[in-house]
Amino acid sequence: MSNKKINLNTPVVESREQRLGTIIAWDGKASDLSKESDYARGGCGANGGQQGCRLCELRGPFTQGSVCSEQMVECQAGNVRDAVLIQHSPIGCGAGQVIYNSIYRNGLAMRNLPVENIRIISTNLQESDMVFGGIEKLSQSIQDAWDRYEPKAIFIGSSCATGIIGDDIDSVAVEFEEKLKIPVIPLHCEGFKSKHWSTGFDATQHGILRQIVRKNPKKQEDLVNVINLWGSDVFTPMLAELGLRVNYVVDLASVDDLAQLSEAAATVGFCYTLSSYMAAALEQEFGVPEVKAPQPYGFAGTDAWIRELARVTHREKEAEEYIAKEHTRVAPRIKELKELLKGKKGYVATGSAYAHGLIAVLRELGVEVNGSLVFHHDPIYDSGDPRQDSLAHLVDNYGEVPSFSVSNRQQYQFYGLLQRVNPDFILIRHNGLAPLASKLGIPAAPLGDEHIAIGYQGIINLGETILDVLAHKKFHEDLAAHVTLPYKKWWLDQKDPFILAKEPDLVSVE
Amino acid sequence: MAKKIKQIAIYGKGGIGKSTTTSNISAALTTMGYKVMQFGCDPKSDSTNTLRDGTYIPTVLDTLREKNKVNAHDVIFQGFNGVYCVEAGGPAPGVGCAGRGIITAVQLFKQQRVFEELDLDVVIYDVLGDVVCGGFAVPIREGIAEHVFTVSSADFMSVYASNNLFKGIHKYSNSGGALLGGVIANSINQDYSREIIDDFVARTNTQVMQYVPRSVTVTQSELQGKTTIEAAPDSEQAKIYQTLAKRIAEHTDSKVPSPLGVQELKDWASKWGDHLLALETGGKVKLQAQGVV
Amino acid sequence: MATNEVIDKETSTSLIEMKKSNSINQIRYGCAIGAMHTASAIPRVIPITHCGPGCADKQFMNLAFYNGYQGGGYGGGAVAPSVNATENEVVFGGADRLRELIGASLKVLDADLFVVLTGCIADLVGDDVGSVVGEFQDRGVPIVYAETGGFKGNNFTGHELVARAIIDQYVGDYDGPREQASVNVWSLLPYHNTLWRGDLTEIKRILEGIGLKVNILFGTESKGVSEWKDIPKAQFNLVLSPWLGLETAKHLEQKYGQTFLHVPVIPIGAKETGAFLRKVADFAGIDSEKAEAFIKKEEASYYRYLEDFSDFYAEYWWGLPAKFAVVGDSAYNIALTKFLVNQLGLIPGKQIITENPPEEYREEIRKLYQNIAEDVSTDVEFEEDGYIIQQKLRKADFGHKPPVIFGTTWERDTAKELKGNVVEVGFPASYEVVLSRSYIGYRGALSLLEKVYTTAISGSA
Repeated sequence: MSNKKINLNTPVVESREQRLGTIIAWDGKASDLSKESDYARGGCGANGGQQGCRLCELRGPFTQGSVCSEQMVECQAGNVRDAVLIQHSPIGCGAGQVIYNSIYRNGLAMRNLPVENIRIISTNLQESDMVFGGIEKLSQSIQDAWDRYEPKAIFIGSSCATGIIGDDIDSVAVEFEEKLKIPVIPLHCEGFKSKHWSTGFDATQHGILRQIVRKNPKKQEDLVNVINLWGSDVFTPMLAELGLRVNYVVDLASVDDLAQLSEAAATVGFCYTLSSYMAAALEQEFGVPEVKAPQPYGFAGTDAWIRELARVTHREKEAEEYIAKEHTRVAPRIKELKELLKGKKGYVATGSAYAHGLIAVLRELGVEVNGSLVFHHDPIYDSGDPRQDSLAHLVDNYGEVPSFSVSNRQQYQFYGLLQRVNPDFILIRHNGLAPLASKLGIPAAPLGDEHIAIGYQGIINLGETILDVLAHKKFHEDLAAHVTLPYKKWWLDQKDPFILAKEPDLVSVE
Repeated sequence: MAKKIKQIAIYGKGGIGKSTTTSNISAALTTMGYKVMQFGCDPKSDSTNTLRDGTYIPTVLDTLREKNKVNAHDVIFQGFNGVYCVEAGGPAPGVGCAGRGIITAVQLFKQQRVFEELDLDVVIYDVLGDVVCGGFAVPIREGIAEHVFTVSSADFMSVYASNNLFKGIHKYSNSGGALLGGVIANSINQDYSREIIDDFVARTNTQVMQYVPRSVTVTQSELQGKTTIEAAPDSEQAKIYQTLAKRIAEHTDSKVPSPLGVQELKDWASKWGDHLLALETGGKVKLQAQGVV
Repeated sequence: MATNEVIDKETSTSLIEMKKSNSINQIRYGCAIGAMHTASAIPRVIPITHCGPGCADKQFMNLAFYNGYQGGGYGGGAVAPSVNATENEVVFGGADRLRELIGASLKVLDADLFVVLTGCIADLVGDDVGSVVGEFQDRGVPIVYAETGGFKGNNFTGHELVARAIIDQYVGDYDGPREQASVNVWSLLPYHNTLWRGDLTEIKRILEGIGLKVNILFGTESKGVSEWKDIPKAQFNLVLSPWLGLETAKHLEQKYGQTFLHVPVIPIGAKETGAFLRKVADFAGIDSEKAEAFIKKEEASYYRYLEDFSDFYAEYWWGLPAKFAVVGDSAYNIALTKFLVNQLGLIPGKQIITENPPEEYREEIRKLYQNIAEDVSTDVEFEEDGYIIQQKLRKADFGHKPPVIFGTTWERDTAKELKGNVVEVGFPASYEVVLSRSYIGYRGALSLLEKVYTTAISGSA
């Protein structure tokens, strides 16, 4: 079923909620969420299609700080090795240079690339620029980026401030692209543009597709695009077993790596939340097939994923050999780990599709997962293909998750969510939640290397990581006895973390 | 001893004559012995032209753009009869954010306590009537102007605009901001114009401060780059402005406006439309009966 | 002055004097709403941010996490309520949403004071935040607001806006008696100055040592809002930094008639700390005998350690750095420079101040460097763009030995290039984990010496 959904003819990407019906607050059982998302696949009986049922998104009066799309642009476009990202904004958005510098440096080290500082330039807009417009300063910064680094591409990220005053970054980009003869790519990523930060991924990928990806690709039949972040290099050895090479994008890639996206034989990723837009567009515009299978987590997922990748790249025989070999290799250690983890309860709190994968792996290890949290929910991905329905795959293959919540990293809800389940540990990637768990005596395993749980080896890796952190309990329990949480007792006593959305009168101003 | 400075704001849709009206009020007040500052809040920065022989003065925002810090006194210029003139300034059409510009300019003056230093009696903010974002409402927020007057003619479009303005004022007057002092009715030459305006203010819980006819005297004065008060001090028109200024200086009793709702406004306009038509045709019938046409 | 030389792109060794532009690479500070940390640095105070969805996270992760891994504390980090503005709030205004959020925050969070800070969106769109917060203030809710839109300045600017807001809107008027021998301390910028917690602890300790009651106002040693309420009762204000805090002190002078003492150089080491304490004791008119006794005791301990250290300093075979550079905010910059020159006898190679201090204070700051010691005079430069800072460091003359660079994570690679060492002392310090460490006063000086020389010798084998 091909519906030409992605529109690359405009410089402004459509937000997630517009394209996919993404929601950021929901509570219930995983199976219910999966069912309620069915409308997006046109599966909604009488009313049919998108107009009919909608996912019911909760909306409450109390919110704590979230994360914005501009940060994701920093996270992706800012991490392209021979490009420069210009943040067209007041200096505050530039604060992100610090965190992404640290991550960039560590990412380079993990991939055995020379370590260097990140190259992001802020146009440092002042009050008078808000009044009179900041385009001149943007032009200056683009010129500076060129003079200082002679990059292969320049990205321009907008901000809340420049979005409101309406600076015309598109025209400036066109002007400099002609002048410097490199792609100069405007990314429309104002923080207020979307209620969820994943739109920032889409914005970056949109720009890359429009202006960097080679329009006349020469097929490389053994090349596979892997859309990821800074994860360690687990895909190269894995795909080598099938005689395939890896093109890692977007982070730590070079501009040339990005250009050859259209030349690959297939596209995969570690998480559909991240790769949805790019992968679907590559197939739609350049005929690069997106591997439509469950994500490579746990036995069921990894088997299906490898088989589909092999089918698309015509390497079915190698795939079966690899699968059999790996099943045998990992079985003994996994058996040991299951013994050691018997009776343990885990809780996953990460990005959407990634969480679906992690829960699968936990269940492979025999860890009880009675609840989990995802930061948003996409009822469907850009390809529209049911084979990518990671939530349904989870529920169908690994069973129900009775307390499955959607919430954009709201720490005040995390207390109640953890009380429901009382896990022995949590899995996280994003900041802000583990500190609360810590103060309740619950250790966290931060998965900075997002590839840690991928594939057959990933099951072992995750098991061992969990064993490491379980011992941390001593630290956290000691701490828990000596800290005070900033939440009122009234709130901590609430059983339903979503009660404020359901009964806003509880906190309304008299 | 701290004197209470009277701060008022005058709003009017572009082209309605608010700057003309405001400048004449300022000029008139100075002739009565008041120390006055006129603070233009329109990005066109031409509010105070007629107080300064038709010349533009450097704006607060342009000056801020050139230097990093601005001393308020650097952007105050004296005009006719010692009136203090300030222009907030703003961006060229199509760029930047004029609303933010107003916020910046007004805050600057507030921080530097300029009004006390100059020992002013009256400060008048002359503000663009298209209050399209928060910034343009800054002059009527709590702590700035206490009284707001709007300039309106009797044309339906102008009345609609005034009614819309009342909605904005209503929002702020409910939380400590300026209250509506009244309407300055401009270009009132016909009797029915007067009636239309009178009816409107009656229904919206306010009053007319003055009826100002359209006058060639005003145009002539402006072409000379002057207010009517300066160029034609003994004219009828000047006297009208003098009276208006006096009323404003002595005005104390402002209220929360009651703007008409969408349907109410439609019905009101409709009724007046019929009436005017009747007047026109009735007039014709009368003249026909008299054998004139 | 500045010309555009052509740069050798391959080797990047030849340098260019760039025309001063607006571009900033390798940022040295956050924006005004970064002052949410000023609020959360006061025990049991929680900031509420009226801004887009990313601002609070950005300012927190960068100023407080990847900068010494300091943690969010009670009310910072992911705890701070935020409007998370969407297109709705931009187009239709965010005042109603803010009102709703404040109301909900009062029920969910337990704080002694809430501080509302605005971001770019609210300040551009013109939300009347004062009016919304005023509604709550009228009902006796402890809450204040400051307009800290990102384009208005950096987190130093924001800091004094927040301090002022708390003083004017929460502390309020005061007409009562003064308490002799008590002082309010206005010094380092919480969280931005990576070691502020240990540093403020040491400052409090030594001032108490000479007999003063100290309102340290921020950090673990502060009693929280009760200290802020006590501000007008103090005998005087101490501004212990080159310029940050002067506006606040002048305002307090106007509001409460309090005098203030301005000591621009934060003392590091016995000489400087002794002189500082004597100056304060003199200004406060307190018992000089008690002060001298304290100083004597501290010096006895300090010089014992220094004596032990002198074996190493005199005899270490493999040589130690002779020249240094300091890149960072003016407070740490001048304090370190003074200590390194006067206590250790090191030679200043390059001093760069990075927080963009207001023009009117720069001349005084320059003089401090010109008079750094009786026989040493040096210049200081003001530069916020990291790209240019690296150029200046590469171009500086450090003599025949590699220098030690006191700077930030951004300087790591340059230090390696120059075959020297970097000691991360300020924002951003992404390779330091800081808890209670201090580098100032008596105790801090000794920790600093440990850090510098451990770093200097660790790379050797």
